[in-house]
Amino acid sequence: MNIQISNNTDIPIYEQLKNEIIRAIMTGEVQPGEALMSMRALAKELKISIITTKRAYQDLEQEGYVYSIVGKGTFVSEQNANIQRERVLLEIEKNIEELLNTAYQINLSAEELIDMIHVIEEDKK
Amino acid sequence: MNAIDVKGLHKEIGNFEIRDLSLDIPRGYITGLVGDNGAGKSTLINHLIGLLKADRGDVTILGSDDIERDREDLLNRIGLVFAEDNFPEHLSPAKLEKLLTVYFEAWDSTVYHKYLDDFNVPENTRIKRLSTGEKVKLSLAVALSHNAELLILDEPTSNLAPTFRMELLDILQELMIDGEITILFSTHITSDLERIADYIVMIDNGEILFNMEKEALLTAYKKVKGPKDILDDETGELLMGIRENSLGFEAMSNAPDTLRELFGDKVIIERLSVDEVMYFTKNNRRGV
Repeated sequence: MNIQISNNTDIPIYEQLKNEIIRAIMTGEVQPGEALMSMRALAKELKISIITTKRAYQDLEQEGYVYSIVGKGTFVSEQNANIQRERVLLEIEKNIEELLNTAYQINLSAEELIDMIHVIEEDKK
Repeated sequence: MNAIDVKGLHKEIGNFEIRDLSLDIPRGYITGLVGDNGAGKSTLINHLIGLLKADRGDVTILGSDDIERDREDLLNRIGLVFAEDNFPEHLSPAKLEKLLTVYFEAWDSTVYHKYLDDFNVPENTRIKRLSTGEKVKLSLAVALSHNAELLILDEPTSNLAPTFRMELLDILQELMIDGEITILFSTHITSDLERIADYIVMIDNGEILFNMEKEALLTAYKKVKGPKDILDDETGELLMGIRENSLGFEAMSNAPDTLRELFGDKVIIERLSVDEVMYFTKNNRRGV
């Protein structure tokens, strides 16, 4: 599993970690039933605090991405791929709505927005 | 469960005073004790290990509230590293071990030699001929070789090269994996702790300014930059330790979302470093 954490962004580290693990689950880098690294080992690998990894794991468990067995560790839950996809699509829809509202303030058209998306996507490569 | 509990510690040493200081250090985590030189970090640590006696107040360490009585047992269970060591100078690290095996019940010779080797500390050179950095590494090797359940490191990194400081953080995190050990690490080089500490205790002028879980601290408080024209009494309420210059202001805030709502893109909101938290908090206390 690949995990990249940045110290130079405003996104809290536990959230970055959570998102990275969700991404790994979604893309199948880790499979249902597979064990995640222990919280303490992961903290060491990423050079972050133990509490940070603990919080990310707790959040993931609450949201049903993983489950833990006392004394054994944390495992990836069986994911219903469709439900997961639905959930992400909903999230994207929400973001687009917000984006449109912001764009509306300066009368920016959807076409112009799409152009911007392409430009930014190009930049990110 | 706490490894260390301090309640109402009171001590006067000349002009310096610790007033009614209370603190707990949870077991199984890394706690960073930060503060400027002279803030009281070492004075506090010396009280924890019984090198100084409080005028008033209680210290409980690893379950013992009588350090005097339990000294031998405690010193076996606590690994200590100071910026200055006080090993007998005429001995070599190899000869020193003969003393240490008598002193420490759970001495692990294999671990000791492994660390000396990893740290490149010459085993057969007299301690007085070792460099300052090598001496710190030697006391680290000793502290890590007797199965201590609590490590207290007082400014261990001030005499170490940056690359070794990184290595040390790695070693400390390795030790944390099994969860049995507690680390209290004092330093004025906060970047050392920035990443790995679970809790940050900030001390200034004998007083605790902050004792918080580090990520919670850095999530709740943000650095805010903006133009001076938005500074008024109401905005001031949301800002701590404001510093103005000719081009704008910088401050710390625990209400970044409100500021964002009020001023939108006029303000820049960033993650703070532990150093900056200390800087703005101190400014704020000075009434800036």
